[in-house]
Amino acid sequence: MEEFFQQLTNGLAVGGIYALIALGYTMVYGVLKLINFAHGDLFTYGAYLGLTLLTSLALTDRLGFAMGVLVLVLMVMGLVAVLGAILERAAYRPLRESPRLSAVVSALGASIFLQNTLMLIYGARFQVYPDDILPAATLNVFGLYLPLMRVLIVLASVLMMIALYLFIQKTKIGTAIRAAAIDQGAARLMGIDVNRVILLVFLVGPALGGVAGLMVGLYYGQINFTMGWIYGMKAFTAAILGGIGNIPGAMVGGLLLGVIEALGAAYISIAWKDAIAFLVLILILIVRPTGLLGERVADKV
Amino acid sequence: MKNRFKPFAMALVAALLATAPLFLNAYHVDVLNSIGLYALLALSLNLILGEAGLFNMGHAAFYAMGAYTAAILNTRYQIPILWTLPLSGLAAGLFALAVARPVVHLRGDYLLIVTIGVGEIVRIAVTTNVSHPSAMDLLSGWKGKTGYRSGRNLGAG
Repeated sequence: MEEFFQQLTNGLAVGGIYALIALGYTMVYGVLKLINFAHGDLFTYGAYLGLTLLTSLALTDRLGFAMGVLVLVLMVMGLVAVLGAILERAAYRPLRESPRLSAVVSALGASIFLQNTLMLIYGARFQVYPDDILPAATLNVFGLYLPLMRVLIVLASVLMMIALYLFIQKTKIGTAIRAAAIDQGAARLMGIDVNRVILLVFLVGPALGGVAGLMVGLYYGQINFTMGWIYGMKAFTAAILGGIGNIPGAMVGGLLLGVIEALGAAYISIAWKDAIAFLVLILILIVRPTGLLGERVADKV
Repeated sequence: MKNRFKPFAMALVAALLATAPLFLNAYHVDVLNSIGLYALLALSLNLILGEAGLFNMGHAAFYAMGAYTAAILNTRYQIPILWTLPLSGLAAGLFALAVARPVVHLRGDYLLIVTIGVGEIVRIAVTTNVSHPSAMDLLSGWKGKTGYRSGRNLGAG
């Protein structure tokens, strides 16, 4: 039973990371109907930028642990958001009016470009987060030993999801995003600047993805320039699991996928962890194409 | 005028390719092999993506299925490599049938993401040492399958 709860909390932490990435996918898909394959690589950029900033600025030494990590998170968010905006401007805006396949191919190309740029800058080897900077504390909750980092990740991701949900639901800009997702043409007629909405989506989504990358670096300690692909695919799975285009759906889907994967790795086979995630994706699409919370119906013929 | 010469030109190219090993060195034949291989692969993808308009991103899974069928049949069961050609095509076709049955109703991005999933599952399956003893040494993990490319197995039978 204790192992079960350990795996459950681990799954929630990983699921929180998936959910943060999935939000970027689902927001972009909602507005543009485009699978942003480069999103996973922006996530990797978050991890690498976090590593560079952490080691070169020594933030945790100067500001203390809590303040240092907070500043680090904000810096990573800002930088990756800028990258996301550049990506949109360079790779997607010129193809706004072209057929769907062109944009998808452009996304795949951008993904390969970003990946290889990272490889050229940092080298192909695994990069390791310094383990002495962050306290390796464990909390004892009702007999469960939880690493502090795991608890922080779950808390931070849930906090960010709530913030995003309130932003989308309660603010005027959030309403504009929802309107553009429902019908771009009508939104334009209502005086919404759709281009700015798209830009905003490409700022917020990558910012969250970048933080997720930083979390992976802090949680697992090592990062690689190719890791964005598999995380991206799983996050997209999570987005579909919850119903693509649906923001609470991405959160639920991410957490659920993380838990399924952690339990599958623990009780079935760790080597098949990724395969289990994709099997879930295929089953969901066959059985319930709208996803669990359902927004958009998968086209069936 | 142009069309009348086309069959002759094609026959000439085919004859040149068939006799290429006689007057080209091994390296150039190898390059020609790669060209033919990629052309065939592109044609097969064109059939699905181009003609039928289905977003299939898991094409590598079928490619792998053929390659592994040929390798396993040849190295484990000593079936000559030329015989494995139709068999690996058949195996990949059957696998594709099993995959396509449930997912072919999906369209657009959903089909795309499912085929990526299938491709990833196959990749994981062939690069993971499957923990079932019967399947384990058939797919020998990261090392991949080797040994069947050497000419000694070609057509020996």
